Amino acid sequence: MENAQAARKHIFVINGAPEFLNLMRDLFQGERYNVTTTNFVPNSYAQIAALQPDVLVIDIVVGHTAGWELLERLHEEAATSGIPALVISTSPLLLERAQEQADRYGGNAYISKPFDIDEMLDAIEDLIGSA
Amino acid sequence: MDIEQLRHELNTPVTIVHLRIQVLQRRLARREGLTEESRLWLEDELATLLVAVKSLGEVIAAMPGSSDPDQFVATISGGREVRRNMPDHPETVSRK
Repeated sequence: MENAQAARKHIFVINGAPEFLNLMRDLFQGERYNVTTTNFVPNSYAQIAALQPDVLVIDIVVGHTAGWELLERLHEEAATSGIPALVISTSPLLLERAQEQADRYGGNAYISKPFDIDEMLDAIEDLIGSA
Repeated sequence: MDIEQLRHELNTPVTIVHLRIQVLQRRLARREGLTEESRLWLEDELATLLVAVKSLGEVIAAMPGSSDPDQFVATISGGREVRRNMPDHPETVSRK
């Protein structure tokens, strides 16, 4: 059992909405992932660097800069630059811009909300497989 | 409220409902101990809800609005802070 627990992949979800974080926790635990969720807080970067998750799921929120800033730092810093990031947003336009600037922000896959869960799980498995 | 802000405000709860229905569908598929009748009824109810919320999402996506990301972000945010931190216009498009 301990080995099975250790073999589970770890997903780190960053989002400003508590209800979305609860949902992601329910989903990923049900899918046998380890999951950590957090709001955009000043120590989000330190948490991610310490935990070294297998995949990040990060929201680019309309009207706020926290997602962009965190993405850029994660991409810049050696300790976190290798962690693949799935970028999500309610705005296809923001996703388009993030994708165009992937060299700067380090996104690896992009999904517009609302989305099908299978689509997101497939993207996460692809990111884990390519890491 | 601007149309783009309205779109964002509508999309947020629609996303939650849309995802929650899917999570419930997955849980139901794994759940043991339900009668076949109960399972079928719940599957039908959730499928109906999913179709309805998807339709709502499609209506929101089809709402008219700006197609310019800069104008869009400026409109939503009041401009200055987010625009300062938004990516520059790209010279290359890449997808890893």
